[in-house]
Amino acid sequence: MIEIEALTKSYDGRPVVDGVTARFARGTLTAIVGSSGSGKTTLLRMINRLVEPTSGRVLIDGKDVSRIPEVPLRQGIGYVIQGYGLFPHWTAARNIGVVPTLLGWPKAQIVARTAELLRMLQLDPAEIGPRYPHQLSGGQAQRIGVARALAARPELLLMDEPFGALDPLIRRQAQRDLARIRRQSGTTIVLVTHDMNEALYLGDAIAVMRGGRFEQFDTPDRIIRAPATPFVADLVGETGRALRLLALHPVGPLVGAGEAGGVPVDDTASLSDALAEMIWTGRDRLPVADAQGRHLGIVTRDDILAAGRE
Amino acid sequence: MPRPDRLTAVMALPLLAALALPAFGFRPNRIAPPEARTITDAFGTPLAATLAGGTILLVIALLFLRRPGMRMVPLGAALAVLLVLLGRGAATLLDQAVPAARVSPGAGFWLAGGALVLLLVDAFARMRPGPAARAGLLACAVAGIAALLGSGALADLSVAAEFRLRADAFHRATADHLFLAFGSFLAALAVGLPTGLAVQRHAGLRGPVLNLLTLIQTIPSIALFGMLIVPLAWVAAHVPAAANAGIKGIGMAPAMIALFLYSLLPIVANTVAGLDAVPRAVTEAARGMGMTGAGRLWMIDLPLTLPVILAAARIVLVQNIGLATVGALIGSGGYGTFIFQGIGQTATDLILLGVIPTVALAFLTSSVMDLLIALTRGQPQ
Repeated sequence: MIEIEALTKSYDGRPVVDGVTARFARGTLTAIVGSSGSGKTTLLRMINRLVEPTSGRVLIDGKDVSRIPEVPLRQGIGYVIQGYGLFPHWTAARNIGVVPTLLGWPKAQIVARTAELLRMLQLDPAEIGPRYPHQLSGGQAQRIGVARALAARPELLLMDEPFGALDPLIRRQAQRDLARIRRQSGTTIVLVTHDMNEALYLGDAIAVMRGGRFEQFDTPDRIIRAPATPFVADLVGETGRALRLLALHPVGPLVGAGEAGGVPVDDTASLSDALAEMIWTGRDRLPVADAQGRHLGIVTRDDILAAGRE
Repeated sequence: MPRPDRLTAVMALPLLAALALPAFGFRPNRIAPPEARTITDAFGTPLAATLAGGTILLVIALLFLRRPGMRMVPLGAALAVLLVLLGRGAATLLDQAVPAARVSPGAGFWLAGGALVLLLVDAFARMRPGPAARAGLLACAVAGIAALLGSGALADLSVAAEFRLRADAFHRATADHLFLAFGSFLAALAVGLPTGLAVQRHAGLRGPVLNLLTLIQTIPSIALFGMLIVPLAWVAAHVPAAANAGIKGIGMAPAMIALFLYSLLPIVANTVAGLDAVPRAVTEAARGMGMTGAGRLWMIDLPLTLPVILAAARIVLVQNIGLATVGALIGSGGYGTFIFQGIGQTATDLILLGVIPTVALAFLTSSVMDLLIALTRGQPQ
């Protein structure tokens, strides 16, 4: 768990981060959303002490980070930045293995861990491992950056605009990968982005930042339903709010007894996906199945519409 | 019919003109002005005619041989023939002359040799050789020249005669020259690298340090040698330890210091430029991964900056090898000694005894450095 207490960073007396207090729960993904200059990157960099706070403190699992020496602190925290910063004179495999190497892991263990991470990110270790960064596509480089951050199995992962340099199609895939990795590893993630859609898609909690302060720190559902300030409302957007809300919730809880024809939807699919399927195939009820294909019941259009109105 | 090779068409002119020019310069003694001797004078008409025919055949062959590897064969053979003829011709001409007579290569030989070397280098470049092939050719060339000099085939040439008169002085000069050029480089590297690191990290140092080094660079070498004589003479007079270590107003010490000062700018400036070019994201990632300052320097900054530092080393070494000759004016030793003595005595051979090894050393050093740079750049960046 990360606790941020009255954290402030000023440059020449001007606060960039201004008295932020918040808690990020273990195993969750907190998305910090804001435009450039809002202080979101500075806040992130105070967690691994790349920036030292002017006042206030950061605690990780109750320990004040300012009392932990920089080097071991950072080696224990995964860090992904925009542009990835892969070391251009090292192969992808050596890039991934950098923190385990710094920690003095045995060589065989580093090799095994590198291969495991590459496979987890759907990259062939024999093919991609020996490549140099300039021989990688943007999507591959991004995944190597994520693999490098995860190599030493950190409990905390900091990500600064990790998908900013990707084109939309690959970005979507990378976001799905991150969601999957998170489910598998249970890592606590703090992610900085300027993209509210990304925050809504990935975040368990969203902090909207402006002028160095949190305008609202809430669940995605609450951010959409009850924006605390006009700025937050503006970021979420007036139009399409109902559809965004539907996109946050899975079909599962709305499943009722009954039978319906046609192709079933997954119980983990979002309500907006189910609604889109109804519009496209001209149905007003869909059968719902679980991951193993077992029939669970049906979901009706009226129930979905009601969920979007709440 | 294939289109004839364009470079050969141009080079045909000097190759054929060389036949008509005097092949040798003949002097009754080492400081007399040279008299022209043709190929016919040295070898007689039949061989001269054969040589003319051979040259024409070579030009025609080169006009239509397109494969670079194939071009190198007749070119290499022609260069070998040229060198053998040079040695044989000198021996023949000396046979009929007084003992003090000297024979040197004439305009014809220089022209033909120059054209052949140019065509050879061009053919080699067309093969787009990798570092290994270039290292191979360099080793072959060095071994070939060593074998040629060792065989005595050129022993009758005037420069070789001059060398025999001064073998001891030549070896001393070689040691002094190498010590001056490489010693000052190593000292500049030891000082310049840390200075470059400091300048890159502290923005306030950048302007003053680089401006000072640029200012030093603009002082002409003779003026800098002169400026160092006074303070060093004072040091020698007042600090016995320095005087015992051989530091004087003239000699090795001021030359060494001047070359060291000239070497600093390229090394510091390139170190700074190289470090500046390390991408911000790379530095940021390295810090964020928990690398220590020293770790970043060794694992990230220096490897990424190495090609640029090597480029500076190449500039500095070639510059030092050339400037070290000027040091002879203030008694530093080195090949410059022969050049300035030769100018004083109007003895061309003595001048060449200083010039040829200087040029060869500079060329060899720059080739080796180019190879090293190619090897480090060969690592994908």
